[in-house]
Amino acid sequence: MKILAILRRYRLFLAAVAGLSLLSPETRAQLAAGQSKFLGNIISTSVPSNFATYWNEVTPENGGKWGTVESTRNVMNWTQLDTAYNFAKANGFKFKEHTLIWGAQYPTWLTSLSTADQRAEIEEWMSLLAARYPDLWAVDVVNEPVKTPLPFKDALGGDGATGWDWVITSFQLARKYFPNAKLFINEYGTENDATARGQMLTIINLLKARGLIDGIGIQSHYFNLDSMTGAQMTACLDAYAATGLDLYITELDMRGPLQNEASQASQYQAIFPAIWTHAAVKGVTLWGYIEGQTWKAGTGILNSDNTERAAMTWLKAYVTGTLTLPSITTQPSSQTATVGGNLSFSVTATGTAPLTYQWKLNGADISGATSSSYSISNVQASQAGNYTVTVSNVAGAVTSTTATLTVNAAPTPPPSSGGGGGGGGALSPWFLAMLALASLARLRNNRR
Amino acid sequence: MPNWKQATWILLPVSLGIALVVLRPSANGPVSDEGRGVRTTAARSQPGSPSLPASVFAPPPPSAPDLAAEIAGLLATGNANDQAHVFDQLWPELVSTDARAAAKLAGQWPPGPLRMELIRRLARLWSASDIGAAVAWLADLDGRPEQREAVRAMAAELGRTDSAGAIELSQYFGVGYEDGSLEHLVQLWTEESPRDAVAWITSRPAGPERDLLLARIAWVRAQSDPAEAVALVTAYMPPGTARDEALAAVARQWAVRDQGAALAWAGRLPSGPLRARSFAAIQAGVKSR
Repeated sequence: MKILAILRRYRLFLAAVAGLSLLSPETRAQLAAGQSKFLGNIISTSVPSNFATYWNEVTPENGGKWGTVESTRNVMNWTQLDTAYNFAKANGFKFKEHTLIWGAQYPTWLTSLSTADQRAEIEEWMSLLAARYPDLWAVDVVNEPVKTPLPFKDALGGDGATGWDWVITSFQLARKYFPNAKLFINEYGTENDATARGQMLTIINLLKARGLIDGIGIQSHYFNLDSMTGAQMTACLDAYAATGLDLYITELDMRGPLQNEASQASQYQAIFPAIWTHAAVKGVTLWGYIEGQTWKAGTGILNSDNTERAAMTWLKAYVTGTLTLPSITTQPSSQTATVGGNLSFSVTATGTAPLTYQWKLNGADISGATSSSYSISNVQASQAGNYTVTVSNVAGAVTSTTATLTVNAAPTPPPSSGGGGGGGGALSPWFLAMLALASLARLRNNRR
Repeated sequence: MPNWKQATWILLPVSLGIALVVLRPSANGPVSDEGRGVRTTAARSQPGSPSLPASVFAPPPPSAPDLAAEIAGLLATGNANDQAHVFDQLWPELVSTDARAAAKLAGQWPPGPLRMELIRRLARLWSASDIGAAVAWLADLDGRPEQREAVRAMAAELGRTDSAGAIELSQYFGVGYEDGSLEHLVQLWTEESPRDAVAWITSRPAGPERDLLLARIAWVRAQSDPAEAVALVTAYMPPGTARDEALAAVARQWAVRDQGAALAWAGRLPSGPLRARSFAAIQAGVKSR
C-alpha cells in the first residue's frame, strides 16, 4: 500500500515519462517520407491512431462524396471531410478530394430535379466545396466514367458530339472552381481490360487537348489485380504513361489469388514493384489498411489489432529501402556420427525478419525441419548425405553451403577370446570373414 | 559511473508500465484528466501491456452502465483524444458486452454528427457480432433519420464478406435505390463474381427491384459476354421500357467491343422503338471508343 501511495503521489511525473516514451504517431516518419512519390491511404469517419506512422497522403473514403455531404438538399455535412482534410493539413500531407461527379453515392434528391436545376446544384456543390477547402492538392473530378453510368449526365451536356461531352463539362467546371488543384479522372477495371482502357484514353485525350486534366487515377482494386502479373500491370501503366500525364494508383488493395495472408503478400511482391518503380507513377493510395475496417475482408495489411500482416512487413521494407535478402553468417558444418548417435546442424542468418528455414537432405525438403537448427537423434546410415538449409524472407531466399553427414557403423563388442566365459554377442564381420577365409583354405587343401 | 542513456531506456518502459497501472480509472467514475488515453480498457486490450498481480492492482472490469456513463462523460468533454479513445476502445467494448446499452446511449445522444457516428459504429460492430439482434434494432429505428445511416453502415459491414446479404438488407429497408449505391454494389459484385451475381439475381422474386439490379448486372456482363447479357435481360425482364433500356445499354457496351456483332444483333430485331433505340445506342458506343 505504501508503494501505491508513492506511485499515486508521482503519477503526474510518471504519466509525463510515459507520454514521452509513447511518441505521437504524427511525429513518426511515414513509409514514403522524403521520397519523390507519396504512399497514402484513406480516412473514413475518424483517423486511425497509426495513420501517420505509415502514410503521407490522404483521400477521404466516403466523406468527400456528394451524397455524404449533401444527403439533404442545401444541408451540408462536412464532418467527415473536415476530419480528413484537417488531419492532412495538420501533418503536411497531400489531400485529394474524392469525388465530384460519380454515378453512385450522389444525393438521392438529385434525380428528381430538372436538368437545369441539376446543373445549378452541381455548380453549387463545386463552389461550396472549393470555398471550404481552398487548399486541395488534387480533385477526382469524374469517377468511373466508363464503368458506371451517370444518371444526370444530360445536365452536363450528355454524350454530345465527342461522346464524352459530360466529362469535358465536368472538368471545365472543376477548372473554374478549383483553379489551383490538380484535376484527375479515376476508373477501375482498366488494369486488365484493354478495351476499357482504350475508352479511358479516348476521354483523357479529349481532356488533354483542352488542357483540362493533370493526372490519371487507376483504382487498382483486388478484383482486378489479384489475377494479374507485374508485367501486365506495367503494360497498363505504359499505355497510360504514353499520354505524358502523371499517373496515380488511387484505390490499391489486394487479397491474393488464394485469399490468405501469404497469398496477399506474394501478390504485393508481384505487383507493387511494377507500380512503384514506374517513372510515370507519382503516388499510390491504398484503399484502407486495417483488417476489419476495409471495405472488403482480406484486403487489410494490418490485422485488426494493428499487428502487421506479411504484406505490410514486405511493403514497409520495400518502400523504405530496408528490404534485405537473408545472409548466412554461420554455415552448417559437416559432421560424422555413429549409428544410433545424436547430432545437430545449425545455421545463423540475418536479413529482413521474419526469416524462415527449410533443411534439405540431398536436395529434398526434410519434413518439419523448419527452424534455424536441425537435430537428429538415433541417427541411421540412411541419413548420411549432403545437408543444406534454405533461408527465406520477403526479399528472397538463399541456400547454405553443403554440410556432409557421415554415418559410421556402431562399434561392436569384441568377440569372445575363448575360455567359454563370454558369448552371447554377435559375431563381428571381421571374425566371419576370417572364418570364411579359413574355410576356403581348408577346402583348397582338401582338393589337393 | 552509471550509463544514464541505458538507464533511461530501461526506466522508460518500466515507468510507462507503472503509469498505466496507477492511472487506471476507478470502476465507478471518470478518470482524471492526465489519465486520458491510457485507460483500463486500453491496457487490457493492448498486447504486451504490463502484467502485474491483478488481485493487487486491477479493478474489476466496469459493468455496462458504468462503461456507458464513462463513455458519455468522455464524449461530453468534446476533447478529440477522448473521442478517439471512446471510438477505438470503449465503444467496441460496450457493444461487445451490452449492445443494447450502446443502442440506448446512442439513441439518447443529442442529434448531430456525434450521434450519427455512434449509430454507424454500433451498426457495424453489432452486425459483425449478432446480425439478428442488429437487424431487429434497425427495425426499431423505423421512421428515424438515423435508420438510413445505420442500414448503410450495416450493409457496408456485411458487404465485406457477403455481397448478397448486403444487397438484401439494403433492399429490405429500401436504402440505396435513389443514389445509385445499390446498383453500384451489384455492379462491383458482378465484376468480381459474375456467376454468383447472376445466380442470385435470377433467384430473386420478379419485379421492378429485380429489374433495376438485373439491368446493371447485364451492363457489366455485356463487357465480356454481350450475348449472355442479352439472354439474361430477355429471359428475366418483362417487355417494356425498362427492358428496352437495359437492352440498349447492352448494345452500347457491345458496340464498344464488337460493332459488327452488335449491329448484327440489332438488325435482327423487329422494327420498332427497341430497334431504333438499339441502333442509337450502338452509335453512341462506337463514338465513345
